[in-house]
Order: sequence, then structure tokens, then C-alpha cells
Amino acid sequence: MTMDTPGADFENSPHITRTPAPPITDLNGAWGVVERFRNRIRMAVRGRDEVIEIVICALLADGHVLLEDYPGSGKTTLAKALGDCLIDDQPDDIIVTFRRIQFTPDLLPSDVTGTTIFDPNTHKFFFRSGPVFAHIVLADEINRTSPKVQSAMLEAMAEKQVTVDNRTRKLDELFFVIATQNPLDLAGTFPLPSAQLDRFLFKIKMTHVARDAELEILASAAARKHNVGSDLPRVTRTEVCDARKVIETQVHVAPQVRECLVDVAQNTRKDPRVLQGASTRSLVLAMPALQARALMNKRNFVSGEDIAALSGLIFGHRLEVAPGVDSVDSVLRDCMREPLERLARMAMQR
Amino acid sequence: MSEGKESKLSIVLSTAVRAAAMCLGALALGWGVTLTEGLGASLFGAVFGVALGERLARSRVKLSAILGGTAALWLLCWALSKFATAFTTIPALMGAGNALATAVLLRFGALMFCSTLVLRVLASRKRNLVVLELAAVSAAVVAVFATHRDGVLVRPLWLSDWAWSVGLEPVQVLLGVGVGSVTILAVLLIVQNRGSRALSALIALIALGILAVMTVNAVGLPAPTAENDLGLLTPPGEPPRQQPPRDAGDNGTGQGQDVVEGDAGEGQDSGEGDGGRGDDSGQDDGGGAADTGASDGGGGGAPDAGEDGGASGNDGGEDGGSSSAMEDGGDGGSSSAMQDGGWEDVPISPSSYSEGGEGGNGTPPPRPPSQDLESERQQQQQQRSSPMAVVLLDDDYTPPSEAFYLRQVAWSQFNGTRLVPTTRPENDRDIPQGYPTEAMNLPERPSNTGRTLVHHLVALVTEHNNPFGIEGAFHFEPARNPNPTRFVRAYRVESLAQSIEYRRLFGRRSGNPRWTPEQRAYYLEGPTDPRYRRLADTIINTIPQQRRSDPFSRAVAIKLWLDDNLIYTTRARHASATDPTADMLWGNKRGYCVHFAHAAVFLWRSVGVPSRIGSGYHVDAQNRGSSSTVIVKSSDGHAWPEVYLEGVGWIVLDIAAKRNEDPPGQPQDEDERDRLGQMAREQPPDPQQPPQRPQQQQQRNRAREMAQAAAKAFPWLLLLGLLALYGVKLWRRLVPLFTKGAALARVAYRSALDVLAEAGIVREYGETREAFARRVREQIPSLELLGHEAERVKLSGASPEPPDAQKLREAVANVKREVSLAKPWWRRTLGLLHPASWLDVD
Repeated sequence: MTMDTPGADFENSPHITRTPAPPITDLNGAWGVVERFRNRIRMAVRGRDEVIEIVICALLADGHVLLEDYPGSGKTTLAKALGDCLIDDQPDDIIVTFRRIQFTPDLLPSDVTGTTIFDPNTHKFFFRSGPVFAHIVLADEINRTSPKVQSAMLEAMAEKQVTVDNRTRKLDELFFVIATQNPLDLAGTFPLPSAQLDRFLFKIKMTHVARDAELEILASAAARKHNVGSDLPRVTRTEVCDARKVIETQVHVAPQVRECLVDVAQNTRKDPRVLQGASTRSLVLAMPALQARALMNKRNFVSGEDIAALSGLIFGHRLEVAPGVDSVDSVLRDCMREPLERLARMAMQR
Repeated sequence: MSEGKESKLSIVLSTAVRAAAMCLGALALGWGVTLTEGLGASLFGAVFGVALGERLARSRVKLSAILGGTAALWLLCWALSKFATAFTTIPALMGAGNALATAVLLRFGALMFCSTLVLRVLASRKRNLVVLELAAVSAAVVAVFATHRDGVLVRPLWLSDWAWSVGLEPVQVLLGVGVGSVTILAVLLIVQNRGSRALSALIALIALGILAVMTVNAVGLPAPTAENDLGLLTPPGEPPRQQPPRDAGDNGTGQGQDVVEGDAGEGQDSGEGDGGRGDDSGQDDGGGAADTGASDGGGGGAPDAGEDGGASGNDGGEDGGSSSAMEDGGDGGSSSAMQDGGWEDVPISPSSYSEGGEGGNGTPPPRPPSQDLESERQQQQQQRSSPMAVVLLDDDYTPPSEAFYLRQVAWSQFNGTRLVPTTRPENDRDIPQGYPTEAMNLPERPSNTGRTLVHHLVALVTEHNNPFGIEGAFHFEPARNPNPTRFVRAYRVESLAQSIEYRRLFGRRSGNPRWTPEQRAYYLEGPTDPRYRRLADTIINTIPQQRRSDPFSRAVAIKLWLDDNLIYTTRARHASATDPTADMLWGNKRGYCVHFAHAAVFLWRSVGVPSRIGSGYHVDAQNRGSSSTVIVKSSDGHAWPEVYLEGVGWIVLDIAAKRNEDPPGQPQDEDERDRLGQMAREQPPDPQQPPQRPQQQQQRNRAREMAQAAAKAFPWLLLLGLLALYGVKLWRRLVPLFTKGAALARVAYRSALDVLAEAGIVREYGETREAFARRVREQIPSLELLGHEAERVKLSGASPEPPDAQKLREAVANVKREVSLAKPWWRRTLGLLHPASWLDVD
């Protein structure tokens, strides 16, 4: 292939490679992956360091995130920056690094999953993959579309597969969805039911950018147009998958930590302010997230701090609080206090 | 959800079990000290203390706040309880009883509530301090046993009574209660703590148990023995069993003098005993050795009844028929009293005996179950002899007779059968009538001739009816009880005791020239049996002619003849004879002091020597040794004949039979003598305390002793606790210097946290260690590393990499430096002085 051919852009893109990167086998390698993500995204998105951390954490924990924020707060920029970090080292399959789906009420499931199309030349149907066939999918304003489309999306998220015309097609192992929704403009929306919210590992409530960060954003806006930091190292798809495995096996979760996590969940179920407590699935999902966060804090073990930091994100959208209760966060804080204290004291015991 | 319920259930259960154990502890402590209200309050206090403690321990309240709050609450309640009784207004408003009850409720309820709460919170927050809780319950139980040691158990009466009634040993029941409560806690401990901590706690528990056994020494001591540490077998309020007074004389063997009194009381002894004698005299008789009505019956009467029954049963064994009704009565009286070894006190009133005697004067006497058993028992009792009194001599005095004769009563009036205390006021005026309430002189004072003034103090171990002193006593005055826990009363005596040698008494005239003829005749009255006169004459005829008219020579001659011819044995029985003295003298010639004394006096009187029988105690002068203490024992009870010589007064002329069929008595225990003497010399704690009934007195004394000991020990305990706290603090500060390996991470972090806690920087409840480190990062940046290492060692698997010791120690030093930069010096000094600042670190 030459520079002139139509595929040349694709082939020369920095997002593909055909030479595999050296495999990641230890926590240092995984830490390198984290650092590369972090550096690149931080260069693109200013004043959102916490959210960036959470998103990387979810990516390494093989979970999806739901961003809830006002328009223009950098959701899309963040998702795009994340997609920009990835290099597809299997360029020959149908899966690309990044896709964005803007959900609207008239969207159809096939618009998401892809559909079979009749080819008059061959007299055969062939499958035209939808935007979910990507490593990173930005599902923008997911609550604006009909439940039918939502459920198609959610099947992909939960099972990492789509079914079109009774044929199930596998998505990539690295399938990461960043969904967004607008918390205020709820007219004509289809709020996600709690069963579907359960499929998101984290629900991140983004807040307005701080003043200093906002100033910096303005100051660096021009520079960022010119792809500042685009020369920073990227991460290949395989590296992310390897890092996931390393994290799962090499970051230690002490039994006391598991106890603490379970106790938090139990407490949410016991709390009279909570109608529906944390699900067991959420605990299963939480484990890799805790491990990933531990790694991102340069620890080879999960500590109470990870639970404290992630509980709100993990359980916040899963708890259904009784009417009249102001915030889930305060309930969660109460539920966490006693297990966390026990875990903290355990460290001082012989 | 079910798991949550289960854990909640287990918490409730374990709290309930703990509360039960604490209640047992509270009961154990409260039994001896407080009233029913106090007990109830302590039970409630214990239950609520445990429950609230459990709850508080799970709350986010700081340990120091809980401890401080509890202390404040206790102080408040204590002040309120004081307030309720300190002024007249509150008792006036609600009544004295109610005010007192309120005070007790507040005091004990608050005490138990606060202590159990503190123990529970400490044990729950700091797992190692579970031992404290365990120790508290064990100590409470041990305290109960300590008060019951040596088988002298009193409280809780309902429990011991119940145990007796169902035939259990109360010590074992109490032991069971104690073991139960400690076991409950131990099981809880093991269930709630896994691994090495439970093991170490178990070892501590075993150590406590050994300590308890050592303290209590209850195992193997179920049966009350006759002697405790002082040979005082005194269940509070009960005088020790009085032995039959013993005719020590030269033979030095124990004898049952009381037989006479017992016999007399029973009216079965037709010889020496006077069946027709009144009840009063019978009781007074008993006073020779036994004193109060109860102890007379129990101490003196009961064994004698048995012995006599045995003897007369033996004598009249050929009669074969003894009325079964009487037999039962006799058995019941004697055997139940004696078999329990010191618990005898079956109140047998002399009057009932004499009634029985009168009614059944001619009927065969009761017979004991077994003659052999009876005598065995008797011998055992002779060997066990408990102290009755302590005599402290102020003046050095050695009697010429080489024995101290402590006279309590005199028997001079002949009632047709035997001699009894006088009923005429003009006779025996040298015998005190009752205890002195103020200094008093007896109406008759011996002349100074041949006598020396002896001041002495008598401290009674058991209650006596009448005071006694060294013969020749003329002055009695009350004295402070030197040790109310040991002595029931004390008094001072001045005696003009005989100092003149016996051989220098020859040639004196008998009787007092001031006596009226009636008095002289009174002291010469004896049985009409002519054999006495005949025998006396025969004896007197053996001495040289020129001496025959000398009264003292006559008396001595008769004494010497009796010495040679009589045989001493406590098994002698003459009670059934019409004249027991004659029965002995012309019978088997076997008898003991009372028989001998009667024989001597009757013989003397028959030849015109005025004489009487003195009764009281006879203590061998050798027993005194070089000490000034004379211990009077129950086995020293004695009766002896006395003659009146002009100028020197009543002279003891005791009969010492040369032949003795009784086993020798036990030697004097010098340690015991010195110990009791020491006690009798001690100054009393409260001289103004009015004499009380022994039981109340002992109880109060015990309570006061405990209170005093507690008051004395309190500052020291406080100091000890303070030192312990500082010790722990210092230890926690120093231990990172020499800890190696993984544990260093923890102790280094802990010492850093201690430093921070002193400066008032502590982790909040529920705050993670990282969050805490982040919060103080501005001031204390070095803490983060320490916290991280401590958590890493705990949480990163089975074999964590050992931390870098150098770095950790540096970090600790940095934390110290950073704290000193962050906090003013006075704040740090204050923290350094705070002994319990480390309690907030967890």
C-alpha cells in the first residue's frame, strides 16, 4: 500500500500497528500502561484529573462508566482522548479503536449493533458492523434513546456480544463504554432502569471545573488544537488486556478487605433509608476496580482507602433510597464508616 | 440478610452471656457488702453496663471520651448518694429509709454500671484488654472464696443454707458458681478471638485460676476443721466448743469436769450432781468453763450429756433397758452436736435438761450409739483445744504452785449432794459478780501477807458469763478490746496472788477471825456420811503427833493421801450414784478434777478445815515460758480445792493424782501464744465502739477492715495504674528501636500515631489510614509512608516483603520533628504528660 491509496490514511494512522508490544507480566508494566493513559489524557483534558483516574480505573477493571454531567463539561473530549490513547494491534479485524454513538429517540437498535445488508453483486447478505464494534465506545446521552436501543446497547455491554439476525457476534475483549447523560434536561428522555444501571461499573457525577483549571483550559485551548502531546506514548489493545490480567492476579486482596466490602453492602441493605441495597453483582464487579485503583496508587494490595474512594461510584447508582432521603452519598458514608473503621484498626492489631 | 440477623443475634447472645457473668461477679462482690437494694442495683448496673458498653464500643465515640464520661457519671452518682444522706433535708423529705436506699442504689448501681461499661468498652475496642474483664470477674469470685476460706463460710446465707439442706458442700457450690462464670467468659473469649490471642488469653486464664486456688485454698478443705490459723473455730457469733475443763494438775491431761454440771443439769447424776438444784445454779455451774446459755448447753452440756449417757449407759448396761425416748433425746443432743466437728451449737437449755432430769430422775439415762465412738470423739476433742482467753501479765509473777489458777467462780455451798456457788451474799465475797462496767473493787480483798500484787489484762476470745483472774483478784476494770475481730472483750485485773511458799503456811490457823460462826459453819458443811470423818481421821493419824492439830498439816496430809490413792481418768462415771464423791472414794477411786476437789473438800471439812472449790482455768506456768503471755485454752478448764488460812486467805491446794489413765495433752504452741499475745497488746482502732453482739461486730469489723484497706490501697492503686499507663506509653514509644521484620511497620506507625495523639492529632472514626495521612499531609508529610507500610504488611498477602527498617525509623523521627514544628511546645508537653493519650490510637 502506498500513500496514494485510499487505505493509506488508515495504515499510516498512529492508532494501528502490526508489531506487538512486549507483553506485560508484572505490576510495573501495568503501572506503565496507567502512566501512559494518564499522561496523554491529562494533556487533552484539563482540570478533570479525578475523572480521568476513575475512567482509567474502570478501563483496567473491565467495567463501563456512566458520566452524568452538563453539556460542555468535557465528557466527549475525555472519551475521545481515551480513544486516542489506544493503538489497535489487530488492525485486520472489523473492530476499530474508537466510536461515538449519539443517542436520539429515533435511533434503532441496528444503528448501534450493525445490520445485515443485501449485496446485489453477490446476492448475499453481509453484516455491516455497527459502532459498538470498537474498543472504546462513547454512548452520548444514552437516556435520550428508546429502551429498545438501550437494551441492545446494554446487551453488548454486559455480554460483550451483539445478536443481529439471530447471529451472535463477539465484540472485542477490550470493550469499554463511556456513556453520558444529562442530569437536568430530562424532558423526552427514557431514564435507565436500575437493572440497566447495574451494568455500569461506575456512575461518575462530574462537577464544574474549578476556576484555576478553567483558566488553564482557556489558556491551553489553542495549543490543544494543534494536538499538543500527541507524541506521548500510546497503549496497545493487547497491553491493556495484559494489564487487566496482571492486576487481577498480582494485586492482593486481603480477606479483611473482602469482609469490609461485604459489610458495606450488608449495611446498605440493612439501612432503613435504602429501599434496595447493593447487589452481589456490584461486589463482583467491584473487586477488579479496587485492584485497579490500588495499582494506580502504586500499591500491590487493596486497602480500605480504595473501598472508601470507589464505594460511592460503585454503589451510588445501584442504591435506591427511600423518598425523602437527600443524598445517597450520606447514606453510603454512614454504611461505610463502621466496616472501614474495623479494617483500619485491623492494621494496628498484631 | 440472614447473615446480618445471625450476627446481630450472636451479638445479643454474647452480650447477654457477658451480662450474666458480670451479674455473677457483681453478686459475688455485693453479697458481703450491701443490702438487697444495693444488690439489685448492682445487678441492673452490670446488665446495663455491659449492654451500653457493647453499644458504645461499636459507636464512633472516642475511647477517651467514653472513659471520661463514665468517670464523670460515676462521680456524679457518688456525689448524689453522698448528698442524699449528708444533709437532713432529703431524709426529712423522703424518709430516712428511702434516702438510705436511694444512696445505696445510686452508689452500687453506678459503681457496677460504670465499671462494667468501662471494662466492656475497653475489651471491645482493644482486644487484648479482654483479659481485664476476665480478671475482674475472676477477682470478684475469688474475693468470695477468700472470705470463705478454711471452710468458714457465711454468705450468701440463702445459698449455703440451701446447699446444706440438700446435702451439698457450700464451698463446692460456690466454687461451681465461680468456675461457671469464669468458664462462660473464657468460652466467649475463645469463640470471639481466634488463634494466638485466644491461646495467650487462655494461659492468662490458667494463671489466674492458679492464683485463685492459691488465694482461696478451698480445694481439699471442704470440711471445716477444728482449727483455723489461730485455732479459733469461730463461725461468727458462735463461741468455740468448750472442752470439758481439764484436770491438768501434775498429770497434765484433759478431763471432763463439766460432767458434773451437765449431770447436774440433767439431773441424772445422783451423786455429785444435785438433781434438786435450781436452774440458775446449773447455769452458773456451766460458767466455770462454758458461759452463755447457749454455749453452756452446747459447749459444756452437750458433750457431757453424751459422755454421761455413755458412762451411765455403760454402768447400767446390765440394766439393759433404757427408755428409748430418752435415748433419742440424748443422742440427738450429743451426737449431732459433736459429729460435725465444731458446728455443734445445738442450743440445749439447762432448764429443759433439769426438767427432764426431774421428771425422769429414776429412769435410766440416755445411751449414746456407741461407747467406743464416744470415747474416740472425746479424745479427739481433747487434742483439739481452742484458745479461750489471753492473759497478759504486767508484773512478773511465778506462782509457788507452778500453775496459774484463774478463778472464775467458787463452789462453797453444800446442797446435800455437792458444792454449788453460794446463794448467801456474805460468803465468797472475793468472787466478782458480772463484768465490770467501771473500775470496781471486790468487797473482800486478800491480805497482803504472803501475797504479791499482779496486774494483768484478760482478753476473752469467747464470751464468758463471769470474769476471771489470777486467784486473789480484788480489782476489775474494763479495758479496750485490743482487736475486736479476735476478742469479744477485755478487762484489767489486779490480784494479790499467792507468793508465800506452801511450807511456810504450816502453823497458821484456819478460817478468818472476822467470820461469824455461821460463816465458819458454812465453810465446814459437808455430807453427813460418817465415812468421810473416819477416813480423814485415819489419814491424819499417820502424820506426827505434834502436827495433827495444825489445820494446814491436816489438809496437806489428806491431799497427799488423795494424790497417792486416786486415779485420774476422764472416763470415770459416778453420776448415777447418790453420792458420786463417796462412790468414787470408796469405789473404783477413779475420777477427775471435780470428783477430786469434792473429795478433798469433804474430807477437809469433816476435820474442820474451812474449804471450798474454786473453778476456772488452770494453766501450767511452764506454758508461759519467758513470755508475759498466758494462753487459756478450753482444755484448761479446771476445778480445785482451796483452804482458808488466817492471814493469807484462800490457798489453792490442788489434788494431783499420781496415776493417770488419760493420754497426755498436746504441748503448748508457742507461735500461737506469741501471736495471740501480740494481738491482745495491739491498740484498738476505735476504743469508743460499744460492745456489740459478736456476729454483728465481726461483720462490721470485716466491712470496716475492707473499707480501710481499700482506702489505704486506693492511692497506691491509682499510682500503680498511672505508672502502668506511663509504662505502656514508654514501651510503645521505644519498641520500634528494637523490633525487627514485618512487625516493625506496625510498631513504628503506632509510635508515630502516639506522638500525633499527644499533639491532639487523631484519626477520626471510619477514616481510612490513607485519608488520615492525607488530611495531615500539610503538617506531617512523613506519616503517609508509615501508614502505607503498616497496611502493606497487613494486607499484601501471607508473606509480605519486610519493610525498610532504616526508612521507617527515619520516618518516625521525621514525624516527631514535624509535630514539634506544627504544634506549640506547651501542647506537646501536655500531651507528653497525658498518661492515656495512647488510648485514642487505634
